[in-house]
Amino acid sequence: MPKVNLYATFRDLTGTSQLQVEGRTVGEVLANLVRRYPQMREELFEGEALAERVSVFLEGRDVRYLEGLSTPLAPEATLDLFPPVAGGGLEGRFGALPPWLLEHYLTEWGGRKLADGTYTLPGARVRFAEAAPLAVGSLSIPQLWVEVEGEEAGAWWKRIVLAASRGGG
Amino acid sequence: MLGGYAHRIARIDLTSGKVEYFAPDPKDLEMYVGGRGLGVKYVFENGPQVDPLGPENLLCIMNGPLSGTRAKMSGRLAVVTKSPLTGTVTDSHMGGWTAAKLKWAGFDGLLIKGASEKPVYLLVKDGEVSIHDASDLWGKTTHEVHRLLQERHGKEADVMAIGPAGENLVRFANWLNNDERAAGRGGTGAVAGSKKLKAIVVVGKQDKMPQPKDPELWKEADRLASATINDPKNVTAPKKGGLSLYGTNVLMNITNVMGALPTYNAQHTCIEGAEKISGEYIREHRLIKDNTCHACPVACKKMVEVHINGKTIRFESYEYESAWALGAHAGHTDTDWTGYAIYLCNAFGMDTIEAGNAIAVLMEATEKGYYQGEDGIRFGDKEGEIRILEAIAYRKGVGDMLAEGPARFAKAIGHPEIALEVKGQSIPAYDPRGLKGMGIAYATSNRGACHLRAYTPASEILGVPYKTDPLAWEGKGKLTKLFQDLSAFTDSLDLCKFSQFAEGPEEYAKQLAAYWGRPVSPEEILKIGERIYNLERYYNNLAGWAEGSDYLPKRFLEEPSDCAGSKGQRTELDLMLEEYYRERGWEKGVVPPAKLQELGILSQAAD
Repeated sequence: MPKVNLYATFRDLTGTSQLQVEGRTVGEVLANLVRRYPQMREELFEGEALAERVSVFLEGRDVRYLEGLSTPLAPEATLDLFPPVAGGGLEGRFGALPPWLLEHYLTEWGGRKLADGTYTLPGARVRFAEAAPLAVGSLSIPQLWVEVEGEEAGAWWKRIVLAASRGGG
Repeated sequence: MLGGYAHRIARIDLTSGKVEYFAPDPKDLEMYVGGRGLGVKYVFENGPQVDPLGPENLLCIMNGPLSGTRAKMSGRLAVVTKSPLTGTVTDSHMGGWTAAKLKWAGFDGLLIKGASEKPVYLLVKDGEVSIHDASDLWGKTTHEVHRLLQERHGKEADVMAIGPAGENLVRFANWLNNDERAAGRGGTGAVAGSKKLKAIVVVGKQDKMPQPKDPELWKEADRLASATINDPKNVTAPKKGGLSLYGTNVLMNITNVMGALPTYNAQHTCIEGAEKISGEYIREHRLIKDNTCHACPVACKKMVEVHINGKTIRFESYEYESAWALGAHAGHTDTDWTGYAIYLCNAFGMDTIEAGNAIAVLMEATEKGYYQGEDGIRFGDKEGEIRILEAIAYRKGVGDMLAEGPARFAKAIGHPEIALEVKGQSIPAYDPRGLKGMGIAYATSNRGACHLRAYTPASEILGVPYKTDPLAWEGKGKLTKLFQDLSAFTDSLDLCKFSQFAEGPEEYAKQLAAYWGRPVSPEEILKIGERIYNLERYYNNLAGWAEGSDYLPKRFLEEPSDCAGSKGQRTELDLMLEEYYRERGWEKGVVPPAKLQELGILSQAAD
């Protein structure tokens, strides 16, 4: 049965961060998820279509680049569901950026860690969570989901993006 | 005075036999750092109009401010010159210990000009460079030269050498050190051959290791860099991460499944049996040992054994690019014959990527009747491939034409369209129909088609630093600029490209600041990279690569991919170029004066 990881406000809405949901396609899994948590319907769908603002990843690929709701799922597939960010905030996923390193940057930049694990920076609040790693062939690349909210979100987001810049060869 | 440097560079004139020494200008060090950047600066000052194979061409052997230190993955050495293959400025990097030992021997670089009448080699030791007769070494393979010079100068001596291909001015001849580490691309070995320079021996001991100007900051910088490289979840993690376990060749199965592996001279985008030349297969069936470079915990180098006609050949390394070029691109996936071809290219001192392309172009030309000589070969002819590699190195038969490079060969037989080249340099192992970012990266690379100027598969395959759709062209121009600038900087430090899978501008800035002894910001890192990339482009513009020089082979634009993962795809180059030029602030591939001034290049050039 496919596994679904939920992030940020989706966790508040469902009270869970991970669950297993039946379905042979992305659409079937999301429909079954909505059956179990009706409050997720307006978060995930616009009419019958996947809401523009929601990010649904299958093994690290946005399903919009695959076959959308018709994307077939293997029984062992993992879907990552990211909510839209309210209040002009920014969010995204970074590869090969360990959470401890982001915490190091945030502390170095004057951030303060709160009891719920989020960080406050002047004019912004940063949340992050380890997402399912991107598995490609014999490689596995850790993924970190990061969200920045607040009046100064843009400036801090830019700083995080620069720090997270990586490449390869 | 900035820390990390020996503050000594040798200027060697092989025509007169004179050696002079100078301290690099501190302003140049701050603007161009070392390695690739500083080398490009010196090649620029030498003038863009020189004949690459003439005595006036400048051959720079450069290390960086972190070379020879304990900085992780700092074992790279830059060879910078004007390329005889492309006519552009080129830089090529090798791993091993030469960069570290050059620093310990008292040097930030060697600038070699002129041409000797008889073969020579250089001995670099204790802050001095001496020129020695190499008549007895001329004609020998790189492996033989390494052995003979280590017998002469001791096992601790580091040897980098050219092979018969460099002597015979094969336009894609390279340098090899530590037996198998290649500064592969752009024909820097032919430049050495034109100067009758067979080898460089470097003797240096670790007690000359430079110390950081700010030891406290260094402790912190090194701790962070080490921790992220060793993070068990990162691909660089020793003995755990995919790059450490399988080396570069972990990609073979992945690109094959994605329809992003050019095969049969890119007439197809996958091949049956790719597994047999993959990193996974090699690890299970041919691996002897995981080797490494100076200060590197990753150990991506793989010592392997192959078996040909009853003989066992041990060599390093069965890299992804080499295995593709001499296997899949040539229409076969034979584990042993591909390995043997890699071994021979290393022995002859030839770039495996360009050699593989030469083979593939000849195979397509033969099958289509474009080349009708008796020595033509068809796809999958493994023994024929070995014959042709030798013919190229010694310029025999069709090998003499191919030694000029696949682009010149294809043009000479009247079918330039079958050469998969940009600015005269052939493509590496990624098909831009299955990885669109590679299309813009190849087209805009300053040294001709190349995966190492901007490694967009990091994002398109691995999700680093963020995931993009490999089949989408949008955003790839912006991504390419970021990668080009970041890599121009790390090539100047000179750190391994693999470090970028774990480190970013914050980590690099801290390490450089600790050595330089003054603050360095992540923004400055990318600005330096941008400056170097623009200086290279300016050089190329002056050398004749101006408007219209950023192109792709027609095959990628017109012939759709035929394999699952990318079936039906073509490369949307024009759309990506528009986005890229906008990001760069260039006018159709030409750097405008305002950009040169903004980056401090023009005022300095005018000084």
